[in-house]
Amino acid sequence: MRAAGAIGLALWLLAVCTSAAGLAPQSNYQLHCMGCHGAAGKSDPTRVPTISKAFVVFAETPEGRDFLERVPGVASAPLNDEDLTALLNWLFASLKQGADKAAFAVAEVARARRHPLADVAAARERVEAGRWPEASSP
Amino acid sequence: MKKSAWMDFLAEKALRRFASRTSRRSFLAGLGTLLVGSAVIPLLPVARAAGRSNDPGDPSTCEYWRYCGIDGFLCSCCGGSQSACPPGTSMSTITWIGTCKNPADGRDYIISYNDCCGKSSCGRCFCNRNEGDSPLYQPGKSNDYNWCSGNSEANIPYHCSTGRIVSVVG
Repeated sequence: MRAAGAIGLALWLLAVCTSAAGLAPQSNYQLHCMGCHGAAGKSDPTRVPTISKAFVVFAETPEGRDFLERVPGVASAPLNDEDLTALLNWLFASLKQGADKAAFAVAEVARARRHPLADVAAARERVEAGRWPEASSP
Repeated sequence: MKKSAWMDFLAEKALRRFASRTSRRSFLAGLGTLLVGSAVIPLLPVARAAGRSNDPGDPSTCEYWRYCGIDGFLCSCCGGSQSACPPGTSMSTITWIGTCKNPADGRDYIISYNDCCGKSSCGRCFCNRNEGDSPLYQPGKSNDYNWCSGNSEANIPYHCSTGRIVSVVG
């Protein structure tokens, strides 16, 4: 009985700690992205990339996803891999009407974000021109 | 004629019954109760709690709860408000975001500190509380930048700062 109580307490503590740590994806977007990218993924297009336009298009190809996972704002966001993945999937679902599956997987995000893009503009051009991945370009 | 006579009869009967059951004093007592009662109800604790604002404090002072992370001149002292720019200025499209605890409900709110741009510094009500502010090398979390420079009209002058509620932290 005592062991069961201890296990119960440990599980309760785990639940409390994990729920206290992670915020809802929307709150994380508002705290870490919205300042520049705007509440609905639209900001001054001459200064800030318009998420609402490019995000879904990029998220639907492996090359585009790799770019999104490694772009500095995403890769260096002060969020753990799980919360970051949840944020990306929430963004995908909110921008794509009727999205039926998650676009991002935790393992993929965790691997990719550890190699942030060095030259973002050049990488973006390569994705848009279909010349990806970075390493195999001439 | 017949109809109005019938109505007269009913009205007279009702009034006579009312008059026989009540006195002028009872009417005055009832009126007095009503007057005193309506004056006293707002003093009851329930009514006072209901009337309390969920956005407490004076937005033209630095102590106002939404300003916990602000660094700049308060737009509410410069012809605007805590959420709107003064005439002749425009709100920056990019901004820094923080959180503040609302003393009315004890919850944390996400606050957007949009700068108002296009005129030289207001110079009134400087407020520098900086809760949650990060060093310059974390640009998205630093309030030391002139966020007006993120608009398409580059480097337009900074005038004052607002503190707009985005939502409750969830």
